[in-house]
Parts: sequence; C-alpha cells; structure tokens
Amino acid sequence: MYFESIADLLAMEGHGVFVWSSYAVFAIVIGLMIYLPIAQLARHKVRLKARFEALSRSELELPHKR
Amino acid sequence: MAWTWFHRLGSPPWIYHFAGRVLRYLLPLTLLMLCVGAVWGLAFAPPDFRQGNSYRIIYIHVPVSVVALAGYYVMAIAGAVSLIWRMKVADLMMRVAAPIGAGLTLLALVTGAVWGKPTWGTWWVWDARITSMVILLFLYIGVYALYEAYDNKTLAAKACAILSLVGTVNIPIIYKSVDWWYSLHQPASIKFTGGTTIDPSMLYPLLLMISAVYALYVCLLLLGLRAGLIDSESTTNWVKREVLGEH
Repeated sequence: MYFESIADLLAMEGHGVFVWSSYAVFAIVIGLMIYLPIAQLARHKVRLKARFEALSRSELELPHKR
Repeated sequence: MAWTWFHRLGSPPWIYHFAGRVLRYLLPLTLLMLCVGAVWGLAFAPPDFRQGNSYRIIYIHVPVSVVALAGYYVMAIAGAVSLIWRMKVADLMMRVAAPIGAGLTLLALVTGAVWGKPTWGTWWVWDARITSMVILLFLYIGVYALYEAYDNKTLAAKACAILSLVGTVNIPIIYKSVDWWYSLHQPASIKFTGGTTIDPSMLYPLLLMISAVYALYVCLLLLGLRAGLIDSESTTNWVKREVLGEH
C-alpha cells in the first residue's frame, strides 16, 4: 500500500473528502443501476405468474369455455 | 447458414436465455474487477506529482466517461437496426441503452466536478468538453423521454431512432473537444497510436477499471434486455414456461 496507515488512506493528504465522495457516488449509482433491472424482472415474473395461474384456474373451472 | 446468428439475435427467447447464461459469469467477474481496480487505484497506485491524491478520481471518472460515449454508439446503432430491419429487440436495446448512458454521463459529470474543485479550483466551467457532455446527457434523457411521450410505440421507436442517429454528431465533437478548444481539460493521455503519457503504475489500474466499466455496461444492457423482454413478450408461450418454471 502507498499510504502508511488507514488514517492516511482516508485523509489522502487533504483530498480525502473529494476522492471518497466520488467513489461513494460511483458505488451508489452503479449499485442502483444493477439492482433496478433485477428488481424489475422479479416484479414482472411475480405479476405474470399470478396472471398465468389465474388464467389456468379459470380454464379449469369453466371447461365449456375452452 | 452463415446468417443464422443474425436471426437468433432477433429471437427474444434465445436472447433472454443467452443473456442469463452470460450474466451468471460476467456479473460476478465485473464486480470483482471493479473492486480490485478501485482498491488498486485508491491505495496502491502512486500519487500524481502535481495533483497529489485527488487524481485518484481518474480511476472512475475516465472509465465512466469513455463508456458513456461508447454507449451512445450502441444506442444509435440499435436505433438504426430498429429503423431499417424493424427488429423489436433492437428497439428494446435502444430504449435500455438510454437510461444506462444517462447514468454513466451523470457519473462522469459529478466525478468531474468533484475532481475539478481541488484541481482547478472550481466545480464547473463551461468548457467545450463539459458542455458537450451535458448535451450528451440531454440526448440520452431526450431519447428516454421521447419514447415515453408517444402512445403509439411503433412511432415512438422511430422518433427515438432518428433522434439518436442525429445526436451521433455530438460524439466526435466530445472526443476532439480537448484538441480543438484548448481549455482546462488536458488532452488524451492514452493513445492507440504513438506514445502514452502515463506511467505504467497508474496506467494498469486505469486500464483495469476501463475494462471493468465496459463489462459493467454489457451486464447492465443484458439485465435491462431481460427485464424488457419478459414484459414485452408477456403473452407468449416461452414467457409462460419461464415464469411457471416449466422447461
């Protein structure tokens, strides 16, 4: 490691606030960008599963409608 | 047939499952590369002799900027394919690429501003590169907003494709802005032709981070495609099999 201690790493000779806040924003934004489509896919699957199951139930209950 | 790959690219179930298989390996690999690159850049690379430690923002600022620009080509080419061949997958790809590009451009602007404060003494200047990046952000947001504005989605896709194609004129301007209008931004340090003016101890972590953000871009595109495909194909049998777990 280039820095002598963890405190030095955090301080970065006075530039710590700028460097760490940039990396924090980066982590938050890419974290969100990865999470959102995964959550969206899961939501679609739950919604569609309920719809397909409701559809097959109604088909079983009303065989004459087939 | 030599063209079967092209037809497969237009097949939603094939893309959905292919993306799933790729993501299983690529997503963990990407996260690992991002972690290694960030730790390398933050703690192990030497400080810049003039800027000190604030330069460490380069390991995120340059990769997100490079990929935000490259992502515009992805969106514009997808738009062109959707215009010419009426491929639904290309249309979806264009729509997925817009918010990803907007997110990366926003990150480039924010990390640039935070880097500018200790280095240039200001958060923001209206220099050519920053201004053209702001235009890039508006183009990405514009494509997304334009699609949402139309009720007729075929028309929306066509309008978005044309907007993204017209917007490509901005990309070479961004690339060349540091050479044409000499301002606070330094000219490119990494060149494919000729000498690279950056020491290997700083270059290697930077190249790792650039590769990682490219890989991240591919992951985000595939994740968006999967979510979009299952929604737009919700009445088909393959989605039914996928959702109910019947294989």
